Order: sequence, then structure tokens, then C-alpha cells
Amino acid sequence: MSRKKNILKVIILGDSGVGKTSLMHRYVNDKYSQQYKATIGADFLTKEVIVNDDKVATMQVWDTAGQERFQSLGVAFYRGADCCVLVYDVTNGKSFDNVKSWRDEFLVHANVSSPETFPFVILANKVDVEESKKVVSSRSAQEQAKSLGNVPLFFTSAKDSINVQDAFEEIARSALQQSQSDADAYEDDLSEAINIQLDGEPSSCNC
Amino acid sequence: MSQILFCKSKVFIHPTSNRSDQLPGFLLVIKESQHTQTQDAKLSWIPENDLESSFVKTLLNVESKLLTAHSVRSPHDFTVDSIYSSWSFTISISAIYSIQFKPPHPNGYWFGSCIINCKNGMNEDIPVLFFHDDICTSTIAKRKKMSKEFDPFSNEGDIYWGGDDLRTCLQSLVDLQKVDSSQCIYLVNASLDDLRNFSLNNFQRPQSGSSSKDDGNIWDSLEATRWSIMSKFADATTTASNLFGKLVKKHPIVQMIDKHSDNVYVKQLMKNPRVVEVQDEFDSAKIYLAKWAMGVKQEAERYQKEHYLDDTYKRILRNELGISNDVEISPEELNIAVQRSFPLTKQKWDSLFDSQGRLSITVHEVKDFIFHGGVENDALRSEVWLFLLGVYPWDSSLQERKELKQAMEEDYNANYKSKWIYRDVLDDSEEEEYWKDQVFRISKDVLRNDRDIPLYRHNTKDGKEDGAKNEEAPNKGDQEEEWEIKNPHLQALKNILISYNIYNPNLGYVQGMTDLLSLIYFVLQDEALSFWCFVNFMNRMERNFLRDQSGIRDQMLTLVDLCQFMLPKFAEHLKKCESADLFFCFRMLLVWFKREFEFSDVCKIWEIFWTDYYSSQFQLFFMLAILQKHSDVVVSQLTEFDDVLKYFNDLRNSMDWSDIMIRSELLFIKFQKMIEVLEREEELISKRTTSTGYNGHEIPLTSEAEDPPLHHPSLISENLKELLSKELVIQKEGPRSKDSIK
Repeated sequence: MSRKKNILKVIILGDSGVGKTSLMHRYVNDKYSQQYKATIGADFLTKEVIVNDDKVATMQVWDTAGQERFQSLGVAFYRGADCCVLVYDVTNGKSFDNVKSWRDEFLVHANVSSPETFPFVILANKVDVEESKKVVSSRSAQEQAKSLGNVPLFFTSAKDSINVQDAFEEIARSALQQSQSDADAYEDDLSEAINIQLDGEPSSCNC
Repeated sequence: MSQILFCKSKVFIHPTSNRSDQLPGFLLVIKESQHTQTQDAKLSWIPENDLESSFVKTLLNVESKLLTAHSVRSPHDFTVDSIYSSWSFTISISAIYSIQFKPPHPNGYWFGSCIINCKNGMNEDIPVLFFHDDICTSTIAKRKKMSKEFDPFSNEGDIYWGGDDLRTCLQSLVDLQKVDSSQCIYLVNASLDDLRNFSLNNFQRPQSGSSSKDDGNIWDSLEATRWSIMSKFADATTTASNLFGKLVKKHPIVQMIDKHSDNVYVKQLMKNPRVVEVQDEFDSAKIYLAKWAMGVKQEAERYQKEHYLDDTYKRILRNELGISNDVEISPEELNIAVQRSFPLTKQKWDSLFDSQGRLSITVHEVKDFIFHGGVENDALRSEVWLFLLGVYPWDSSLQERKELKQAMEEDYNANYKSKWIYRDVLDDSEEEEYWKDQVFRISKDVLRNDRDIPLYRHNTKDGKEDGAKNEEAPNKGDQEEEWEIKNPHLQALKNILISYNIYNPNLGYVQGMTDLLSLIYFVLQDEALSFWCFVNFMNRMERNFLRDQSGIRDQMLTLVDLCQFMLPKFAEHLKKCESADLFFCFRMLLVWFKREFEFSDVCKIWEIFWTDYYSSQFQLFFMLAILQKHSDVVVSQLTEFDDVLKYFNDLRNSMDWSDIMIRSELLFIKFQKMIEVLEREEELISKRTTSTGYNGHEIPLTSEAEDPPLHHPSLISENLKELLSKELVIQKEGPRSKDSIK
């Protein structure tokens, strides 16, 4: 498989209407619109990121359709993911309950090398809405995040741009780490540890 | 009470070349009553001599009224039938085959005239009609009004004359298509074959010839129509001054024309000694000239597009689609695909039905019109789509359709809509949960559906922009907009989708269905009818939404076969990009390119698919055409799965649908011929093998024929064969259980 090494691949999953497309657009273009239609199939946007203050990489953020039945065809793009973002809507209890099944679904299809350590990040979206509409407490959110293996959790609003940048910085860090450990595993048998190319310079590897 | 729709005085017939024999008369278009179809209107000519002077007066009165009115009730004691003379005539306008409108000579050497040909060879009865514009009151009045508004051109761009009024009137009653630009011949309610034959002859040009000669041709044809206008203007001013000559010569368009040809008219115009008093009218002359120049420019562009570029385009298509000697596409087939300029008009549509409102031509012919020209506008679409989607049977009468419409409205309200509006909470809590979840999903998707379309844009009770919202409490307004559906059209979408959930409980709501409904409702804007259209559309589309995705998967597998078969190099390249499964086509196929094109283009694309003219799965050829169009770029530039997906996703809103449709048709024809060739080869082999010893036995899979066929017969998969069928492929969802996937 010819994988471009300086790309960090991030998949956003979650129930339909929780704000996956909006989060992606908020992060990549710093824009928000109420006119995003239900996503069909899959699409991605890319953004240059600087991780840990010195490493430049391209983050590829994949947006997917939320309805379950579309997953069976659309798993091809799970391959090679470096981080998976699980999104729920704080006004929709069901979307919160489904976070775990989205994670399991991902692990089944993505064929990752070590499922125990693969990085996930949970985004509790739409925190801008009035309190009375929120049905998922932050406490139960934290409990869930903990039970899923201390998954980092962010309370975000794509609409009001709350916490989105912070969350994606964490996502980028996790993705980079994952990408490096994958690469290390791949090149373990090489006598010399090779630092992977992350600065956007022409790569020396023959991919 | 009959209605007079058109009345023109001083329309002459010239029985002999002798001026004294010329007979003045009235030309009329009369409709029996308001209720008769426009197609049944009649065209009559009555000589003045046969009318009492009081009638002449009445008709002159009608003529002047019609300058502003659309129709005038005919005087109660007036009937055309009671008037008889050897020259008068009356014909039903739908009995006319063609009309040639010959404009008057600019210098007045001849009058403008109309030559009418009838369908059943009764031509001798209809004399040529001459419009004596100089003495006709309505023409004079109209001309005055136009020159005041500096618009001396009729809507066709030529100098206005009396015949234009007749043409305008007829255009509102029947489908009038210009088929020959130099001869000004129009066909009335013509069949597509006639339109094609006429335009084909017209467009044929000699293949050889240098480009400079081509330019000459363009200007030659322009000369006749346009320079006449110019010289007419010069004559009309009947003055002499160098000023006007200079003005003409300085104009950029004239300079351009001057470069292109040594036009005699330009020279004459410059030398014209009679251009003195034009100074008085200098300003009007300038505007006049500017408009004329614009007309020339537009005409030149149109001409280029139709004649010159058309050929270039055809050459491109032949090259790109690999139309070779192997699989020949005839010039006729190419022309039919490329020529899409005869849309189904309201007039044409009406002319296709008899007095009972029953279709009087074959369904295939109607579909030919729709496939190759589309439906002219959304108003007509709202009628035609009911047939295309099978809500109205093609062989129904007007009365039957009326009854059907009412019955369907009642059925929708009683058996579907009220079932959920007045529903009780279910005892089974899981089922209750499921139902609520369905409604929630529907509301969510409806709220974010096509909000850029004016009909759905504003979430207010009347669907209009709420002026007060921005001023007071914007936050509150925003919040409410997010949660609650107020726009009546969005509400209708929701109602229909929930009702569909009652209609088809197995399938339930699946994302993408809102996209399918949105367009139908936009065109019909009638909840009950849209529901039934949607039901029928879903009958065909249900396979795209199945829980196990088998229906959409089947189509993608067929597409893989098709791609392999028609674009082998491209298919080979996709394998290298890990894109051989064509996953990147998923969105386009799922909602039939709804997300890729402008709303109005999707209407045109879908109505073509609905015809099943070539194949019930024509969407796959449209998809193939998109792949074909971009195959060179993809093969030369892209190597990764994600790049390919991004490339095709980003085609959104950048494709020319008409070009893709033309390619789809040609690809289908090519496909069909390739299949034929292969099947013939296959047959040949089986015959040969059976005659050389395998008689009566199973034919071995590996053929022992001496010359193996170029293509292996197994290339034709069942999937591919099915593409030649016009029968709908129906795949239904099975019963839903509690743990069925959502």
C-alpha cells in the first residue's frame, strides 16, 4: 500500500445530525453554515498543521454519512486512519449512547494494528444551545470517556466556534503519535531509526 | 361565444399579377369558445368586398382593440361561415403543416407575405397572403409605437412587419418551430422526425473549404437579413450627409465586418448621397445603429455556435468516445444526440392530446421529445412529470385524470397522512421509540434540505423573509429556526416523508430520500400529488436505500463491468489507485446526481432518466459519461484513492449537464452496438463448433474454433445485458425487525 507518510488521516464518526460536517468546516475553514445538507458518501478536507511546535503535517479530515446502513459500503476509507473522532450531540441522548458502537464499528472495519492503543477523541457538540435543551450531563460524558479507555473529551460548538481548535490540536497530536508508532512498527527491522518526513520537504522514501 | 384572437386588415391576395386584381381582406384567428382547446382555433381570410360596410367598421374596431387586448369577443351577429366567396378560406390552425413568413423588401419592392402549407395536401385552396403594411392601421400604429421606443425590431431581431403579429398569435396557440433561418419556414406542431430532417438539411455544409471561406459564408448569410435593415434605415432617412457615412464607418462592428468582407452594402451606404437631414435624428440613429450592431453580433455568435462550433464539437465527441470503424455511429445518430434544440413546449404538449384529452401519438414519440429536448419550463413540468412518474396513465382521458387526482388526494389524506397525525402512542415502547426516531430523522434532514432554494429558504409561516427578525432578538429567532419547521413547503416535505413511512414501513426513512422528494415537490408544489409521484419514484429508487446496500452495490458492480467494457484503460488505472470499486461514484448514484448539479439542471436530467428511452438504468451511462469525460485527466494526474475521490467530489457544480447527456447517449449507442457484435460472434462460434462434431452436445467452454474471437464472450456479464432493458429493476426492502440496522 502506497501511503503518503506526511498525511495524518482523521475520520469523524457519529450519528446523523450531530454536526460532523460543521465541525470539519469550522476547523478547516473557520466557517459555519446552517445549509450543510446531510452528508452522502464520504468527503474530506485537508489542512496544514504544526504539531508540538515544530512538526508540519497535512491533516486529512474525513467526513462521513451518519446513517448506519451507509457504513457497510463506506468503510474503504477507514484504512490507514491515524485517529478517529467520535461526535455526539449534547441535546440528543441517543447520539451519546451510540458513541461506543461507533468506536466498535470503526475498530472492526479499520483493521488497525493495535486496537487497544488506537487514539480516539470524543467531541460533545452543540454546547452553545440553552441549558434546558441539553440532555447529556458532562459527568456522564466524562464517565463514558473514561470507560472507553480515558479517551480525551472536548465540549465543542461548531456554530459558536467553542473549543474546536483545541480539540483538533489534540486530534493532530494523537494522530501524529499514532502515525509515528505505526511507522516505527513498520520499520522496526531496519537497523537505523529513520525519522519520518514531516516538514513537507520532498520525501526520500520511494512511495 | 367565440373569441377573436387576431385581426389584421389590408391582407391581400394577388390572384393575378395585375395590380387591379389584388383583393384586400381581413385575416382572423377565431376560437369557438373559451372552453375549446387553443389547438382548435381557426384561421380565416375574408375579402373586404364580401362584407357590409358596418362589418368592416366592426372589424377595424376589433383590430385596434387587439393592439392592447389578448382577445376580443366577436360581435354577436358575426360568423365567418356565413360569408362565402370564391377566395375566402377557413382552416383549423392545427391542420397547418408549415408557414413561410417572407418579410417585405426593405426598399418596398415587394410586400411581406405568408405561404401556408396544409397537412393534407389542400394547398391549392390557400392563396399566398400579402401584408400591405403601408395601409394597415394596426401595423402602422404598432410601428409608430415601436419607433418611439427605439425598438424597430420585432422579437426575432428583424424589422417589424404585419406578418410578425400573425406569427406571435400562432405561437401562443401552437408549437411553432423555425427550421430554416434563411427561408423563414416554421413548422406547426411538427413531429421530431420532421424537425430533424429540416434542420439536418439546413445544417449540412460542404466538408472541405478553407476557414476564410467559412467566414465568408457567415457574412453572406448575414448579408441578406441584416444589411437589408441597414439600407432600409438609410433609405428611410432619405437624406444625404457624410456624417452618417462616417458614423457607420467608425462603428467597431462595421469595421470588423469591413475587414472580413468587401461588402457591397457598406460601400453603397457610404456613397449614399441622400444622408443629409440625418443630423436632426442623430441620436436616434446612434441607438438604432447600436441595436442593429448588437443584433449582428448575436446573430454571428449564434450562427457560429450552430454551424461552425457544432462541427468542432462533433469532431471532439467522435475522437474522445473512440467512435471508430469498429463500432460506427452514424452521422444521423450523432446529430440526433447533439441536436437538442426542440424542447417540449406547452403548445406542443397540448397539441398531442385529442378532444377527450387522450394522447394521440405514441408514448415513445413523447419520450423522444423529452429525452432529446426536455420540458420547456417548470409549469409544464408539473403536468408532464405526473405522466413520466406514472401517476397519470399515458392513455387516460382528461376526465379520468380529474377523477384520479381527486381520488388520490382523498387516499393520501385518509389512508396515510391522517394515520400518523391522529395516531395513538404505541404500547410497544420499542416501536414507539422507533417511530419517534424516524420523525426526528426526517425533521432533521428536511430542515437542512436545499435551503439555498428560495422556496425553502426562509423558515417562516409564509415562507417569506421575516423582516422583523433581524431587528429584535436575533438570537431567539436563530434558535427557533433551528428546531422548528415553519416554512409551509418544508412542512409539506416532512408530511410527505412521514406519510411515506406509513406507506412503506419496511424501508423507513433513509438519508437521501429528502433530496429525491425536494425536487418533485418544488416542481409540483402540491402535497398529495407530490406524495404519489414520490411513491412511484421510490418504487424505482428503493434499491438505492436497502439496509444491506445490495441494490446500490449491484449498480456499482454493473458500473465496474461497464467501465471495464467501455473504458478499459481507465478501469486499469483505477485499479492502481485502489479505486476499482468506484466508491467515489456513490453519492452521484445514490441521489441521481442531485448534489452535483444546479437544481434546474437536475430537473432536466431526471426527466430524461424517467423516460427509460434507451435503458431503465440510464443513470449508469450518465455516470459512465462523467468518468469518460474525465478519464484522461485522472489517468495522467492521479494515483491515490483519496485523490480520485476528491477529484470527483469536487466536480460538484462544475459540469455541463448537456455535454454529459450527449456523451451518455452516444456511449449507450456504442455499448449497444458492441454487445450486438459480440453476441453475433458468440453465435457464430457456437454454430461453428456445433457443426464440427459437437452436434447435439454441450458446447465446451473453451472454444476450439480456429480464429478465436477478439473479445471473449464472457465479457458480456448478465449485469451488462440487463442495461439494454427498459424494464424497471425493482428491489424491495424486506420486513423490519427490532434489531434491523437503521
